[in-house]
Amino acid sequence: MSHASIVNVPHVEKTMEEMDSWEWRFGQTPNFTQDIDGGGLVKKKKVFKNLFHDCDY
Amino acid sequence: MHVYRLTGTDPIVNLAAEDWVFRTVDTSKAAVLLLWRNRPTVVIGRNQNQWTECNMQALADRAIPFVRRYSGGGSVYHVRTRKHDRPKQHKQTKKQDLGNSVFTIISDRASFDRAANAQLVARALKRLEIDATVSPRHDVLVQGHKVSGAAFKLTSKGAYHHATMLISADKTSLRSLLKPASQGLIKSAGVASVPSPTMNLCEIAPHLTHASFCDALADEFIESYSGPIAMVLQKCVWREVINSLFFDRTRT
Repeated sequence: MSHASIVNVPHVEKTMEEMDSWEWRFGQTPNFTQDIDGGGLVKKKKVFKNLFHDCDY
Repeated sequence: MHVYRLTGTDPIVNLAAEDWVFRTVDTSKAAVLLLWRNRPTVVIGRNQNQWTECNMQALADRAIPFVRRYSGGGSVYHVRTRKHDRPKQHKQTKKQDLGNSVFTIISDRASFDRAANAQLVARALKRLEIDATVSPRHDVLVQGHKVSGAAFKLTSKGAYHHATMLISADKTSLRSLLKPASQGLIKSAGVASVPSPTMNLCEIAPHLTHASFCDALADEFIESYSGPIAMVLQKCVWREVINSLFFDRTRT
């Protein structure tokens, strides 16, 4: 996904980067997110890389 | 108060810009309405499980991205307009004529009212001669069918209410992409979407477009959020972004 038109606003860029990241897209449901490792399924650790922590949700 | 229209259709850019505006604006002094739409994308709620909400294989086959937003709520499919529903006068912008409009109402936490915002949208539709009601879940209904579903985000200072409006979306694609292949196979602790019968506004208002809906909503927003509200622009970067990303429809 290209974001060629975006201006260089640090907050916007960081948010875009986070929203595009694997951790944000898939890592929010750790109990059901699995990674293939050598033929077996390994449960992934919970990854919650949100930039902000003041949200009530 | 200010009304901005995001002219791009990249879902990640739009969601990032929305989040930035939300965090930049002093919501105690300014209420903001953002109007935008996305190119074909599935947007899921912050606390949802994508495997139980979407058909990931179908998304991959059609190269349609899915995006997880910061707010809660259910899944949304931003679709292209059905071909036969596209107004002839917009033929030259056919590729940009997307059938699902999105709006965000940003206000301070103290005055944030989900029901009032949903009523505001219903009144905007009345301006377009469409009778709309609001459900207890703050969905906007027309003839008993959902045309707008909302999601919310609240912080200690501010809150926003963002929602979609089905104007002329391709509902066949919507059903197939939001019907997970794993249906019944996965038990998820994630927040499940609440399926509702939907309809496009173009079914009862054939000439309705994204632009006319935005105009009606902006007019209603300005009337509803009246008062001595002044936008506080923070630093020059704010102005730069407005100039490059937004079409400013400021009214006082």
